[in-house]
Amino acid sequence: MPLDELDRQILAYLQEDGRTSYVTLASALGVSEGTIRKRVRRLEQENVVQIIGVTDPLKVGLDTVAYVWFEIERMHLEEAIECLKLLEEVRYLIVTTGSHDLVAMVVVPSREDLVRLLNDELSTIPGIVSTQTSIVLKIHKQTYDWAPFPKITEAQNKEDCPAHG
Amino acid sequence: MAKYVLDDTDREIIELLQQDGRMPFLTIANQLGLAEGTVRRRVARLLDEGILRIVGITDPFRIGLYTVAIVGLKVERGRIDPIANALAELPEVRSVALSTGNFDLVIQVAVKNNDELLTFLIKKLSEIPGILNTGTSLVLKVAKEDFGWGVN
Repeated sequence: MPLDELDRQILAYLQEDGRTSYVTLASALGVSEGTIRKRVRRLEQENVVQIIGVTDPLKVGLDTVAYVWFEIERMHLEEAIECLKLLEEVRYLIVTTGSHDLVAMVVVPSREDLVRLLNDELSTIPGIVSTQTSIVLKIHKQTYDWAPFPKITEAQNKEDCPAHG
Repeated sequence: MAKYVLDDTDREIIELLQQDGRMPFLTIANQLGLAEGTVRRRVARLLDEGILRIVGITDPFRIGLYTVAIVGLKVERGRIDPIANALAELPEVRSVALSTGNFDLVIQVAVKNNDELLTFLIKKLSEIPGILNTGTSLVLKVAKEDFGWGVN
């Protein structure tokens, strides 16, 4: 689905605050509320955007976040992906190139859960040759605004960074 | 200020907003048997405390950002914080995590194409002093992305 300028502007607002009212969007962008409603619905239906609540894992009792890099036997790659997807602890899984084949972001309540995941659950998955784990100590930045839509992104960065005062 | 502890009502509200971030407070109130004002106050509190954010999450591949990568960085000891802050300022960088293990920092980067990734890795990163080496994992496919944690 090709995006026009209005779509991009709507997305920029929703990336900052997903509950921005259609009335506010309409008056900010100079179009009718009905237009905004239709556009947002289409963007959601086409899976361009999903408007959802996201919690900070470290503030809701999920104290262990880790990145795990996997090396997988080629013949078992598809199978390993399907098995890893089924694990609730695996929140983000990508297929990659380079020295590893898969990277997962894992969110669990404690270090013990991470150990259990790495030692027990992963040992049942076929084709895993090796893993490397980086435990996240602190999250410095987490944005969901993938597109650098200039106006809002700049304003946000400056607000958050004292050096830009 | 005391650390905010989530109760069951908070978790139920969060669970509904994880499915639909724009669900009207009245609908949430009716589903959970609460007053609309209670839901409104709870959500405002969760947002204020930084426990919850309600955001539009775009699919990078559908908005023209065709090159997504996870980059691990080894940095000079003692310079992690300034480097993390410098990285966080770059618009291409979606997340910055300070970590243990093979890498000191792990970042996610989204750009339009491989040329831009090259520029990012060669130019932008080299302007930040103290980065010793990097390992770049180019994302070929996102097999799973699930933001629904924290209520069960």
